[in-house]
Amino acid sequence: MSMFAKLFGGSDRGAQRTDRDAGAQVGAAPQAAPLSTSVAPEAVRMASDVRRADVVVVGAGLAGLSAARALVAAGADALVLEARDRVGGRTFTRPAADGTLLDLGGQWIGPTQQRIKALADAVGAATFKTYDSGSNVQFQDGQRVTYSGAIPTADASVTGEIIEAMLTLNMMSLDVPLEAPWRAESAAEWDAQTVATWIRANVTTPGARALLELAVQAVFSAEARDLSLLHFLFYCHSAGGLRDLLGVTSGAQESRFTLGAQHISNRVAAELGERVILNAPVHTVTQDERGITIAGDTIAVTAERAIIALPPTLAGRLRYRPALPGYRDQLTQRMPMGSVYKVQCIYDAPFWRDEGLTGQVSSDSGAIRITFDNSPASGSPGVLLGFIEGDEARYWGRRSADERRDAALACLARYFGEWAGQPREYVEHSWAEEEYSRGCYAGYMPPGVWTAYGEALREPIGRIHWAGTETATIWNGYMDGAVQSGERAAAEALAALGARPTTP
Amino acid sequence: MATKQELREALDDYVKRAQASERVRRTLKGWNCVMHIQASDVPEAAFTSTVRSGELIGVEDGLIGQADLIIRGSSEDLANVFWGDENPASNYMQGAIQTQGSQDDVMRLDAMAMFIYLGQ
Repeated sequence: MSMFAKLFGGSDRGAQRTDRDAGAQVGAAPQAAPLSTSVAPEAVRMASDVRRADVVVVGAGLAGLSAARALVAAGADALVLEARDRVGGRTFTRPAADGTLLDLGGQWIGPTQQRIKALADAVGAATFKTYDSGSNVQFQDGQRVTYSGAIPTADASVTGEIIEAMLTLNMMSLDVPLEAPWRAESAAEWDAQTVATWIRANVTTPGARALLELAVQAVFSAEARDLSLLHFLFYCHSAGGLRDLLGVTSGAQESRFTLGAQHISNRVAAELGERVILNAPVHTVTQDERGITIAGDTIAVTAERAIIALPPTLAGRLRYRPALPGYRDQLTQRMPMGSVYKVQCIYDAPFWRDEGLTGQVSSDSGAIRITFDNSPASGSPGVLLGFIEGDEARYWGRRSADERRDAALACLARYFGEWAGQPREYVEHSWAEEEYSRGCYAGYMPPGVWTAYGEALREPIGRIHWAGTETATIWNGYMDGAVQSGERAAAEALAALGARPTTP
Repeated sequence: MATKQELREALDDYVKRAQASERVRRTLKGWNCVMHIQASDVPEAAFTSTVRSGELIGVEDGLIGQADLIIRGSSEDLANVFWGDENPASNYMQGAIQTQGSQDDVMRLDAMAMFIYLGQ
């Protein structure tokens, strides 16, 4: 029995197999009660591994694992089905050739991200501060200048416009209700335009426009023309403001996890033990008045409730029986994922620090336009992180790996000198190529989606509850939001089961 | 370390620059806020600055009334920002000076501080 089950008196039934082919499982585990439901007979017949639980969770990212953790803590029996051979979803930590841990996905935690902090603390995931000492580099119109602070100050008229624009956007964002953005007084007006439209109408200097559009790319890995202004404002409010979103010290990029962000999920999965089933992609969700069955080619789990902890666009690719209401399916048709390559270059030492640089760049051109110092806590080796985002990711995603690498290294050499173009190791990761993510950092809302379909984002459909950072009200799109969404979905499922949520 | 008197002089100068800035006036429009400014290393260096109906009134000694916004830092860091010697949005200052208040108040303070620093 797991620690949680012991603490909270819940059963460990989730770890038990209920295979109908008992002969194949003799000795593997005690056989549980027979399936009481007749839902999805076809799917169940096709699967060789048939189980049951109180709640089945699809997706072992931070949302799904947080949901399962909360369910188990409350004494519920949960099973998590994960398509990949690993947990962590959009957090993915891998060693470089020398063993340096590289986060290929989400990696930062900011000071106001209390839910991911609580989870990290609970599983003993230590953090360290992102290197942020010195000057930043701005590369604009072919010129390289250095500056201190979050906003380049070389051109005072540009800086002034940016500050005014940021203040205006921040103030507007406070009028967006986090639980229901479509209820903002100006929701219709804001959801009818893109962020690019707003920038063109309200910002006059090309430099300020370019920097604001770069900020959008950095935060959403999408273009300002892709995003609904209402979504942008919601996102700002959800994070606490643009400074929180964009900042390193005191902002969302303040700290990293010593053993990588995926370590959190690995630890939670270890606690959940056999309740987490890897290599279990699913394709069919069938529900009726007796229960719900989630089925894949090899496994089927029948439960009272299901939590789908996937990005909405992936949730929309599952087959539902009965079919989902049109408004829910049409929502999932309209929430694309961001486009990003995460590039990391490893050097013997972080040589830019000796030049008084933070390692942070903002550039108006090139494949990589945003960089950070991503060296480990020890400062050795030196690691530069560059993002290829939005249109650049779309363009370079159709080029060869060699061409992409050449373009990325040329950018780093322009920003940091010749040395930067000669790393001892180059690592890139494209999230659009990941079958079970299809993009990063998150799904976003183009114009018209919040006001037309926003209510469908979290609304349960029968026995199905929706999780994933895209459904979060605080730090939407971030690890913190993923945890919030999982815990919220677990509370919904527990309420439906008649159980009371308990803090894990 | 800055003395209470030095910090007061810096604050008075800061208010004058704020009152002279068109952009700051636009930023403060409609704002009402009582700010308490406290130097962590000089206990007697505590001041109150008030914005009423979008107008920055001035600075008074002591912590007066209920604060909407609390600004804390070392006397030297505070003086550097108020004299305009240090970019308030610099990496260092974002860690050295703490603000406590509503999002609305903090956002307006950020913008005001940057405009004054830039001399706009």
